[in-house]
Amino acid sequence: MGLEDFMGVVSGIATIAESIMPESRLQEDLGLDSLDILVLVTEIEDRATGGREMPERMVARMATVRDAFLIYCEMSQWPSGDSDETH
Amino acid sequence: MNSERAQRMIPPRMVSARVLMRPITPEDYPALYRMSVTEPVNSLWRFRGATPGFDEFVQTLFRGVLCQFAMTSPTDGKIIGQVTAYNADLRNDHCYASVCVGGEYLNSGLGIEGFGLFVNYLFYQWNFRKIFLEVAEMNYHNYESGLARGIFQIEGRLREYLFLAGQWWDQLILAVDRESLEKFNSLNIGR
Repeated sequence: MGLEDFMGVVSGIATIAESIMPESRLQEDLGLDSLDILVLVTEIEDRATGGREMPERMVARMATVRDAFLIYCEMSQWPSGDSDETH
Repeated sequence: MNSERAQRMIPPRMVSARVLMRPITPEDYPALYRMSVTEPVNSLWRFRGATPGFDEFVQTLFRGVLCQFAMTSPTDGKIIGQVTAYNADLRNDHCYASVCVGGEYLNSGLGIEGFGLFVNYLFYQWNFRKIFLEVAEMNYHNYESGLARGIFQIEGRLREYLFLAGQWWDQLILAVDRESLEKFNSLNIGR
């Protein structure tokens, strides 16, 4: 999934999605609250790894749309059966 | 005796992808105290700006509490926050619950993830009909999507109840019941 499609996923969750940009801040600019952030995390987990969990240190890095997309890309590269702790 | 039914019992879930709930021990008291009296938690949560001493904090930590847990990281054991059930009314089957997350975990989503674990735990252990949350108006934005998804309902509003930052704020009473909790569970957060 490319960045444009990923931004579509985010806009489906955001309450303020009119001018979503890669540098848009998830909370301040797009209105995502804590539960929305977790819904986005779950979407990334499902789409990138088929359901393997995102560790909390990666969740803490998700400030912008671009941050979330880079995490999606990183998780998509996880070898199957690899431990989260190695990343 | 129905031993088959007992054998099929599933223990309550105490860990999700990013949060592990465990009992609070004396070794946790300094970290919980620091979290409680450090901004912004100090202004927004239990002490509303007051700074009790450590001994007073410890003495009141379990006052009025039905149960509470430290929320910790499953990977390094660091304390993320605290969940508390209080003012339990076992005659009328309801209680209040709160969640507090401090420092680097603020606005990370981990508070909601842990709170979801905790509310499931409360409904597992007791025959509650509703669990109430006291939400200050300045924190209301953290619950908006939960309200929109039908996980929480507004049960009441106490107008101009809290004073902070030079102005009066309402306090809202939200509620979650077993049916609305399933809407949270269906999101599969933290699996």
